[in-house]
Amino acid sequence: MKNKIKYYRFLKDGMTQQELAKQVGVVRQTIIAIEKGTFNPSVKLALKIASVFGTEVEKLFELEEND
Amino acid sequence: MKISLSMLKSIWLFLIVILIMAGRGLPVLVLVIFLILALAAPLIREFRKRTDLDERQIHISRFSSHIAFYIYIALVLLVMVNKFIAVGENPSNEFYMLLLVPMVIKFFISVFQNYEPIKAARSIGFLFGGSWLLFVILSHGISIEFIIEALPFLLLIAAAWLSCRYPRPSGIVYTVLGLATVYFYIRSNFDFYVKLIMFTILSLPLLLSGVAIFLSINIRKGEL
Repeated sequence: MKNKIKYYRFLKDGMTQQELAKQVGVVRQTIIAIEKGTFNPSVKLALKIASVFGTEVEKLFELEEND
Repeated sequence: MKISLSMLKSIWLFLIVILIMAGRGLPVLVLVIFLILALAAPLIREFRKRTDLDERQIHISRFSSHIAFYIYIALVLLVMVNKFIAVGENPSNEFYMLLLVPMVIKFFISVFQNYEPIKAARSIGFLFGGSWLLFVILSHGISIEFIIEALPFLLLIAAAWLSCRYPRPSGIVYTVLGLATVYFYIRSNFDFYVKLIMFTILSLPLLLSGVAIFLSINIRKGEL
């Protein structure tokens, strides 16, 4: 699954991974893993992340061909 | 905060491993207390809604426990095979207990989580009741002894049959039969380890089924 979290962080005045992690209630390592695509967040966490950026989950996450 | 807490827990677990390795002469009671303190947190976490870990950390914790479980089973098997080769006899009861209890618990937790708990409870009732009836028929044929010995398990089959319509009385039957088997094993002359195996295989599923049936009453109330 691809995601645009890094891009959205950049758009949000260069929000750090730590700041995002704090806002959604996870540790920074979890944000790193999601950005790298090594961990797929739950719907709940995906919705929380989308809400921080004021966008929709579909714009933040995208299925790849082999998913 | 979450990172520092989980880091502290990992360090704590690591320290206990070092302690076990270094202190072979350590009083067993001290070891038991340390292990309970180390292992209580992950267990309590499974039953709480709010947790000290985020979802990825929980995933990691469960994955590591899953792998550790299989390694534990492999190690028990290794020791059993070694004993068999060395002595030429089947290993004693404690090894079967070490092997069976975790596997049976894993099986029943999977059954209750995979299927609707009340359906799992019904299946367990039919399976246990049916197996016991078959065993009694094969031992006594259709006779007075059959009726006396089969009665509790006919009751269990009836409770399983009616568990959806009358969950409260069914739950009581399961729980009472579960407690009766516990009482039977405590009073019996079985080896302690055999008692533990029997408790895990027979009493625990009945008690868990009883709880599942009682919980289904609350779930239904919530749905209405």
